[in-house]
Amino acid sequence: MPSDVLVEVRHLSKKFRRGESYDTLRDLIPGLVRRLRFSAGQSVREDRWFWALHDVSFQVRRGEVLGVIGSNGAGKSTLLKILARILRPTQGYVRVNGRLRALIEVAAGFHPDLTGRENIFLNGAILGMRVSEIKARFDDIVEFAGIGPFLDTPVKRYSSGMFARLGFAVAAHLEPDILLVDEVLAVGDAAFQAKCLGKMEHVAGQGRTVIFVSHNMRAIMQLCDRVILLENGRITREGPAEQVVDAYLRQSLPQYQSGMCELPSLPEAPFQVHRVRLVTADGQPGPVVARSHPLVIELEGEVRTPDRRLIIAIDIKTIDDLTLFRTHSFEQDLSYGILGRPGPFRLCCQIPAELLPAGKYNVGLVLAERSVREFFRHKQVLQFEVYQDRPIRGSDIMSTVGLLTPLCSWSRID
Amino acid sequence: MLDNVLGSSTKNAEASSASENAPLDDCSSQGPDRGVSPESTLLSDDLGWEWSSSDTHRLRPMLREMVQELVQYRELLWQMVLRDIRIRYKQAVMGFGWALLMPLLIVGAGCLVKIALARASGDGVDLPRVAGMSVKALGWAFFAGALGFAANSLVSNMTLVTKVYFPRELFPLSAVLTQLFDTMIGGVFLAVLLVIFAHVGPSWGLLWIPLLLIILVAQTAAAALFFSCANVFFRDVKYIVQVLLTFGIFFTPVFYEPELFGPTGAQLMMLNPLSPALEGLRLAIVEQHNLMYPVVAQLDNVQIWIWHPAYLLYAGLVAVVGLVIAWLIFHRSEFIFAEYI
Repeated sequence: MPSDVLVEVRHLSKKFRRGESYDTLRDLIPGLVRRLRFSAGQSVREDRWFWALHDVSFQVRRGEVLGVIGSNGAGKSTLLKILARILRPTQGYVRVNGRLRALIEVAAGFHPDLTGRENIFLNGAILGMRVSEIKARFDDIVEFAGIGPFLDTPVKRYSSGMFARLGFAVAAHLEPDILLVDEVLAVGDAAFQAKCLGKMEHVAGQGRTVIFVSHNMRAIMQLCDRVILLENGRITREGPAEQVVDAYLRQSLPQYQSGMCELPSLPEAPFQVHRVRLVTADGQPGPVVARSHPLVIELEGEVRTPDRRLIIAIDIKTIDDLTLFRTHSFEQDLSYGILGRPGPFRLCCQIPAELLPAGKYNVGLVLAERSVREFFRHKQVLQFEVYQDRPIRGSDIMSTVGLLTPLCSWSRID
Repeated sequence: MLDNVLGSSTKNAEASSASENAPLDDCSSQGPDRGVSPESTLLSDDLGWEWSSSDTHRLRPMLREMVQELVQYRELLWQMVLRDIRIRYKQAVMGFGWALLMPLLIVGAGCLVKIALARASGDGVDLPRVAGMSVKALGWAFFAGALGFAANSLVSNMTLVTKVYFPRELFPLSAVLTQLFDTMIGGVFLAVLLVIFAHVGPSWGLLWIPLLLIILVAQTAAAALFFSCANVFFRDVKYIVQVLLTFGIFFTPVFYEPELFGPTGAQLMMLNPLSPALEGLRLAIVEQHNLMYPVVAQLDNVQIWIWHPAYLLYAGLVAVVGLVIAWLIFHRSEFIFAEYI
């Protein structure tokens, strides 16, 4: 075996029991009696097993950042838990060559009554560090967490921020050969997940080996050299990040993720929109947009009874449904003529480049007759993702602040 | 090359520079003690592991894996014991109270039983008997306390069990070791009392204490491993353990000596694997008896062995076999814990 293969997985399968199992003796004994009396239940029992992973094979080489994507229940976390030795596979072969550690929500191992110092040693040991290693890195950990004066205070008196920082500080000093990061495993809050990502970027930047499970396609594309796509426990695609992510986004949730949405017909309304499309830089419809390109939303529809007051509004929202802004079809059309003619129409709404920070967004659509009535309202006709394709302007801390990041002009006036 | 590696189910193939030249399948020669030098702080111990479904049920690789993992994670075991001790003794009053409360209660109950028996039989309550009962009560308190904590140790640490890998044996074992620490504090307390009130002096019999303690700890560890594991799969096991601990004391010679039950009863009582260790402690400490020699008594015109070295052999055998079996069961099932919890 070549020595630069740090993780090798061959024909790995994992079977789980589905549905009820007897978890008390009180249930088990009547259950056994039932099974003896009705022994025809053989086939039923076989149905209760399902394969969370089925014949999965891959390798990870030294210095590689491997992304694992797939919809919920595809087996991503099962795979990571097997690599972390939390679960044992049903069949197959796994070889891990080196120190493998998972970045998890580490505060799980904290005990509230112990002091910060005691918890650092306890958690370090739980995460697989030797006492000598913890001692060697102790000062770094304390400094990173910024808890110096409170080192000998029980952590139950810590603020939640200090608590989380200390937890992360221990994990951040693990320095494994292979780092596992699972956004699902790392349940913590958004801040913790952001820190995980930061840590990952740092580790990946050092040429270390990382296996990264995420739903965040932006992060996957930025960080991963190679991505495997899991579907129903099988690897259906493997290759460069862009290709696999693109294929995954196209096939999952076609309505939202293809960058195209067909709308229901509104026979009563004076006009309607049939189709909304998101167009990427190369003119193809697609849900993933580079930040340095303008965002183009195309609308196709039909006007039945022209009216100057007809109006289309597009809402750009964060995925937690906060409306960032609304833009109307008459914004630059002071004669209100854009929907003033009968027949089919095609509109194009261009949202300036560099306005939205990287992330996921929803597009809402409202059709109305101005100051009269609303014909149609949908909170989420499209979903798209903006990714950071160029180095961020200015310092990286400053640029990520805020919900919008428009390019503003600065000049001296003295 | 891979085929001969598949022979062992899981192993810690040490790829560090020190052992790189060793053949991969020769795991046993790498020895359990990996000799951590204080300099080897930064990633010098590249651990690794491999697993293959072709061979998971062989006994020897499994035993080797069990021992290797325990050695590898000994520092974590120590940290977990430290954690539990620190938590219990954070407030010294509570901590020492905890260590003494349970033995004191058991001794108190034992005194009541003794007084009642003495009234019924017309004998007095003599000091050696109370002293012997106290020694056995401390031993029982260790068993009951350790098992009580250990049985729930996996379920109460479920966040760790589902998130981090280390040998799950550490949970029940650290519960047993923590209880051992408590028992030692109780033991010091008891020793002072025995010397002052019962005039128990040093004797050669005291040399038997380490062996008896090892047997008692091994039996306790076996029970702790078995019940903590069972409690993961069947959540009502912890109630069974509670009932067992509440009434088990009546099936163990703590409040009385086995010969109270007549010839047959005495022999049956000694079948309880805990009996020889507890009786041995009493005989060695209070009666200052050398356990190599039997103690014979005349009961209802029948001669019975109150003590025989074979009892000790029996208890030791149960301890070793029980520990190996319970540990194997635990180890076989520990990889399903995360699925069940």
